Amino acid sequence: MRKLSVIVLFLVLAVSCKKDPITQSTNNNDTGFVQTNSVDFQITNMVGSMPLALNTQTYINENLDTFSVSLFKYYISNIKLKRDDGYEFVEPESYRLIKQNDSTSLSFSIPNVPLGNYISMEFIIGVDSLRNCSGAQTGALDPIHDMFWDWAQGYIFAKMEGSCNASPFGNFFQHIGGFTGQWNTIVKSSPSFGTNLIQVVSNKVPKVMMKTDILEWFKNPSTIDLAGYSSVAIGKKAHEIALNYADMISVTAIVN
Amino acid sequence: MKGILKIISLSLLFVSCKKDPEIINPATIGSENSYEPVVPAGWPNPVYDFTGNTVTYDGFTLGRYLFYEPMLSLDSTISCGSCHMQVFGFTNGPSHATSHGVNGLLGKRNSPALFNLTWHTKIMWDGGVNNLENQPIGPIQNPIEMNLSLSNALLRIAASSKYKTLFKNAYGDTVVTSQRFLKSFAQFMGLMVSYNSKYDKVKNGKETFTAAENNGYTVFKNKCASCHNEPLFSDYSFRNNGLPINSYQDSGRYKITLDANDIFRFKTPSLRNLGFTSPYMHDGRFSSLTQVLNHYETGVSPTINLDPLLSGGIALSPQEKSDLLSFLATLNDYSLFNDSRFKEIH
Repeated sequence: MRKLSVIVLFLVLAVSCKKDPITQSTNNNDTGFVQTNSVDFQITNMVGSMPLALNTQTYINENLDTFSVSLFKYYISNIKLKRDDGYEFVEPESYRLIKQNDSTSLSFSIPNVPLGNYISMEFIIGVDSLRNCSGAQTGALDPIHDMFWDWAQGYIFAKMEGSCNASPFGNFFQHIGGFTGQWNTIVKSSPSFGTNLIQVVSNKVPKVMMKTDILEWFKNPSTIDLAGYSSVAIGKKAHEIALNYADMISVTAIVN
Repeated sequence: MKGILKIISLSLLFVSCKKDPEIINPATIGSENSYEPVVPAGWPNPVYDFTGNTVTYDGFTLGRYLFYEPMLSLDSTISCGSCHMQVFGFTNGPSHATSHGVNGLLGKRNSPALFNLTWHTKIMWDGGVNNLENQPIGPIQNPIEMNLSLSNALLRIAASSKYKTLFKNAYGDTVVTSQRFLKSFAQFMGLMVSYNSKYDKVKNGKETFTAAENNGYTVFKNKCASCHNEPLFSDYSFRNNGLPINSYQDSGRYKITLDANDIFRFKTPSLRNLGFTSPYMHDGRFSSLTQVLNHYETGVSPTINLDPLLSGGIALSPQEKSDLLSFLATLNDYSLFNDSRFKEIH
């Protein structure tokens, strides 16, 4: 068995050292070789028009609560890109944890996107229900990231913590999650490209600039008062906040 | 293209580096020394089926060391095995109504017995765990149980030379990841299959019931089997069995689903191995099975969401109770709780 594997491996390696054939996929049923490139993404967490600064800055939300943010992180998963010919690229193993206190998490790259013009994208803010019950995970979904509830097991999709004079103990903890039932918090986001598009070409990597506005977390459709929502986990309040933040991410520019 | 080929070649490398499968001796399969998951004849398919977590001797052994590892509690005093003792059907034993944690803290629920876990659709009394692999995270991190973060638990394990060897044996290198840690736990706990009681031997034609046991079996089928159905002796559904509300006001399944219909519902426990697992009920309030039967006969309290099957209680004559107790004793599996594969190890 081992010997055979080694031989097969050698053959595969030999093949992979050959130049990639230049074949352009023209329809999505094409089973031939498809030329691809990466697409880069850069996310800036914002409060309205200002970049989010942890701890040092105070902000005012829709309810006119003054607050500061000490922790902000959330999952983006199941990214799909739609090409102008109707083809949909679905990124495999598409799970990313965006953390304000870790700048490396704010940019990422999606590899192996077939060439072409992409006109829209869609993703989940959170984690699909299947991965909430699929056992021990790795990478962004590793439970050591402090984004996994151990008692009502499943992922915390988004977390915001901070200080607020209006709340009973002067601080707030909003942990949003829950993947089933009436208070499901899985929300999809498909930020508009406007008239722009992502041009995936062979010799240049496009970059999609996005912003996440945390003011959206606190409004539309529900105005969140930090006194009443100082401690949020699964349930109605989490559901309301998830519906609010479904539109917190937008595309600000695409650099092709 | 290159990416795809790279993946193929990497996966081939992976296959070629895997241990040859001869490590499980086929001659031992089905015996006490087997590390092959067992699905007894006539049983439904398990919910957790070890796909993606093939049981090996070394993976299981790592899980066994972890299960009995006190380092996984904040002050290194308590292991999983402290509240799940083999001799008591992997429960906390008759003197502990509820589980005990670090610093003498008391839990609110009875340590559940561990067997046939791969058949549970949801784990724990309230079903808060949806996959066997992630179950250990709960008690390890719970402030009133082991009170250690998973990250710190992994750091402790990674720093131990003993575990370097155990991880290398199980996974080919010494890298400690939460996934390896949790999958080994699942291998150990998932192999705790209880299917060698007298009842099973009667079903297999190897033994026969006494008259009292047989009468008790009839009582069971008429009055208990709608919730505690064979062969697992539970449907693992969540029900309110009419216990008067305890001082904890524990709302059970509701805490997980936040559905008002789930208030006071707890998972139906299996009737297997009751001889090892006293005290009974989710809060361990009854020390004897006679108390349990008396509850169902005259003690059912009409709290919200009471299971309709229990409204008015279950009529049981003294003779029926006596016969039922004889039958329930046939569900005790002496082999699992003497099985050397699961004995404490350090």
